[in-house]
Amino acid sequence: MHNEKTAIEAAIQKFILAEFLPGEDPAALTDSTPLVTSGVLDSIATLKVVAFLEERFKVTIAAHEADVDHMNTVADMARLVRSKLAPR
Amino acid sequence: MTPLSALVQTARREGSEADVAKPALAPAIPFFSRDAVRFATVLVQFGLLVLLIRQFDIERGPLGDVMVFAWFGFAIHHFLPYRLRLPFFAFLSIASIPVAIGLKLGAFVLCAGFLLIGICHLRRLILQRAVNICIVMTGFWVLVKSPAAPPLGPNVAGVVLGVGFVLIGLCLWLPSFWQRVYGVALVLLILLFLRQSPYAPLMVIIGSMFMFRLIIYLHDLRTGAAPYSLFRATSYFFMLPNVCFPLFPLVDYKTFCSTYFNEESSRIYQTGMRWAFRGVVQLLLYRVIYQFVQQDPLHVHDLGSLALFIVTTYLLYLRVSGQFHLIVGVLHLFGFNLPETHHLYLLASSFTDLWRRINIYWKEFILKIFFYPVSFRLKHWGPIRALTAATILSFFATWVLHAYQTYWLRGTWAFSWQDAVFWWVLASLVLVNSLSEAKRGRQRTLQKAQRNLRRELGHALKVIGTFVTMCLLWTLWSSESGEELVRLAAKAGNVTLPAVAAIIAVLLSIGVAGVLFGRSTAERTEGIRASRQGAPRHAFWPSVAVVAFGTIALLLFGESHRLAAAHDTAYAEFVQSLRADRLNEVEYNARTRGYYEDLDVTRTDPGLRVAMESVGWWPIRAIHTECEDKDFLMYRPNKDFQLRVPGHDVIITYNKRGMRGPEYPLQKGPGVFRIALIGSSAEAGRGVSDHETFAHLLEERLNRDDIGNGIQKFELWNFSVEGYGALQKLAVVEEQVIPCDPDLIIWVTYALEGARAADQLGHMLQGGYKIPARFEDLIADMCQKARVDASMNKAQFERLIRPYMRELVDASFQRFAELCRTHGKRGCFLYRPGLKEFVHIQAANRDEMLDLARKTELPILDLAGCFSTVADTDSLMVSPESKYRWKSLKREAPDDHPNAAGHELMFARLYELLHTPGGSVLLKPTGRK
Repeated sequence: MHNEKTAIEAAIQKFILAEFLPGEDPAALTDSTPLVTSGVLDSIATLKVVAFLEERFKVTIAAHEADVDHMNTVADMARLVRSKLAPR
Repeated sequence: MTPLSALVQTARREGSEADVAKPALAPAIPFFSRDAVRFATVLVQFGLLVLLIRQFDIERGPLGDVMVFAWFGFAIHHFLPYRLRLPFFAFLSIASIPVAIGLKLGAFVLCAGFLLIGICHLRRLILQRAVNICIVMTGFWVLVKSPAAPPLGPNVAGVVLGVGFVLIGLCLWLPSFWQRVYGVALVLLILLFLRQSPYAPLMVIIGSMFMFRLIIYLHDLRTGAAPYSLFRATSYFFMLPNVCFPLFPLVDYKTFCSTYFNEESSRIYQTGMRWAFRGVVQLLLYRVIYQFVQQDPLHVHDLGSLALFIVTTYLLYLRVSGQFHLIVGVLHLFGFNLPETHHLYLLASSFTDLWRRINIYWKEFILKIFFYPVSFRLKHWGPIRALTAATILSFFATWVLHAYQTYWLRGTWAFSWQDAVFWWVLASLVLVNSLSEAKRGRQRTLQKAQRNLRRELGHALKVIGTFVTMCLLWTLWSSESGEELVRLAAKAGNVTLPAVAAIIAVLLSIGVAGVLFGRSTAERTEGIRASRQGAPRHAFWPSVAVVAFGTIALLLFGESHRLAAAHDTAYAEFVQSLRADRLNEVEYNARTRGYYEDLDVTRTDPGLRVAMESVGWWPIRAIHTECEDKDFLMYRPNKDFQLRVPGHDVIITYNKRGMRGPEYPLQKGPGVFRIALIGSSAEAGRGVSDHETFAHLLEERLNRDDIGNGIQKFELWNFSVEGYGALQKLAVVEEQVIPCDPDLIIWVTYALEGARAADQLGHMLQGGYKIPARFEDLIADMCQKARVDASMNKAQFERLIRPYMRELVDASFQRFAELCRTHGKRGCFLYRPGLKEFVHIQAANRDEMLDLARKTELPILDLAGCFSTVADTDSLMVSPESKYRWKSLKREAPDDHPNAAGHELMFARLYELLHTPGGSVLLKPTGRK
């Protein structure tokens, strides 16, 4: 479980660093770093993140989930992915 | 629900908010960090701000009362247990509605509101259906049967009842979500239909609460994004202080719920205070620009004045920005930690940046309802195509919804070519920016961005470019016509060196400000700029210092005109002018145009003013009757009656001829010197008793001290009628005054004679009143030149016709002089100053009227300065401030007509003028009898 958690967070973190924060110190982006409220992720960037999450984790994200509650931090995104992956 | 808010709210079910915030073993809290100390500080600041709002009559009328109400509510709300706070806010929001618009009208708004909320929550259960039916039936019973309801014809009543039965059917047979959506849409359509009915003023308020928020509410209901309860829904839709603001931020329901006390309360409160104070400052800046800086486009003559006009047109948006800051600030005081709006939008460095800063509530609404759903649905098209389609659809929706908003607030659709050009040009600019960012990305960093000269210069140029483009676009959006734009553009060729220097200086200032302050894109609590690494959390007291000292400084500024040194100076008039909302008295739409100016319906919609302010205590309906013959004398006083004004020690008597004052036989007795006075409300003695009018005082004094020299008695016939302009006064002279055989006719004029003429002309043409034949050609010619017709809305008509009113007043004055000469009557003009007239900063109107009077070569009695012996002219007004009457639950509008003391001063000056060598000639016997 711990590994899975780390893997999801790590993948998201890696994508965000590569796509939106090239050259940034990876240590500066923690699981709780605000991304939407701090302006790193805008609506266009959010769409890119959603596309990444759907492709990477084979989940489907609804339009109303592309908001600050689910996308503000790496931890929020990982929680969303995890909720999609969990057996129903 | 957000994880954070879910966590906090779950914890709060178990105990109070304080329990959640406090660690188990809390160390001793320093005095200045104690919750009670901080709360007391915020309470004091809020009190000062309420005083400031009342002192400057911010947003006119009811807001001052509602803010007092909110202040008491805040004091109670803070001490309530957490579980009772939201119900209390819901109660406060509901109660604010009758406070602002009266009990009966408020009941209509609440019934319609709960009906709409009820439909959103329709369920299959029979019991709930029954409750829904009861709600609907009660609502419509109140609507139709209430004594407060305007008289409904059988057709309208039938439609209303029919609609009621349809709604009952909806309650019974609408189980699914989309059927509920249809139900809500149907009710909205019905309310839109009522927008054109006698209920129009109420529809403005209902529309401001429900026209967009219902969409969000239903969306979140469907997605289960936020918790629901009766108190939440009530608070969300009726939220204080919505009833005072037809244009209200489009607060997101989910954000409304999830940000509720999601931080330490004192921090949320202080953020609210800071933003509310900033909002008031912006509203005052707006007044300065509106009243003193912005020019009439007709007066633009060179590049400098053109640049000033363009920039100030954009800056008028400060009103909306100020309102939104104030509203969001007040909501913070009740725990709603909503995001900041309009963050440094003048310093945006691109159009996408502007879109993210300016009205973020609208942006979030569009993203949630249009942009993301379309993007997600079209993602198989590829990211660029999906982004393009979603952006275009989002702006199309913005354009259409702005027209929809206009219909709710003004009752007219706003699909003009200016709107279309504005929104599509802006959409194109945002789209180009978005595509560029999507392809190349934009610079983002978690650290503080490294700065170098080249990067800063580039940023400054972007800020300047965005600002200039927005100024030009806003001017286009606000323009009356293409011809006006061409005329303005032609003035750009008149270049002067000082103008160029001034423009460069302003642009450089914008660029420098953008570099220094414009980097941050959001602000957190207590004024701390959002940083990538989180913000420090201890700025409470500096924020208090800014708000408290700033508010006190503005309060002192607002009273500084009372200082002896400021007496009768331009400075004192400047302060007094800012304290009053003189927009609809002096300029009334003449200067300011634009989408948001037009939506300021409390200024331009008389129906809404009645609802928001109630009417003044003057019982116009008790005194005046509309003419049946539809000639252009729209109202005439009733005859032979006496009225005691309720709540005021004032007795009004009209004689059998419908005149204020004693009645005399038409046949003039021997030695009688008859004076005819023709004026409007002040001369008719609005607000004072029979024995207090200056006409009565003059007649009494003349009969006491000036009898002799062949005169045995003075008779003063007061033909003045409230609301009369030059055309009506002229008609009275022709039809009533001349047949009475007066020895002296006094025509009372005043600075606003031209404005009043425009107002009356609009009323006459649009009301289908007859224009006297001798004025038909002149008025038709003016209408042609001004390009107006009766189909325009009244405000637009008046705005365009006003520049031509000088001709109309001139013709009226000349005709009056001609009548006097033709009939051998002695005539004169009397200039009566207004108590809110600014002789230093606003002399042009007075000079214009006096110039026109001089052209007639009739004598002029100028009362200017008669009030200047009194430092505080408010003390000479019938009712200088609006007052709330708890007995009737209605607001009494302010009344700036002279009171008894004012009439005394007017009389004293007039009597004095009539005994100067020039004036005494007027009282010499005419030698006929």
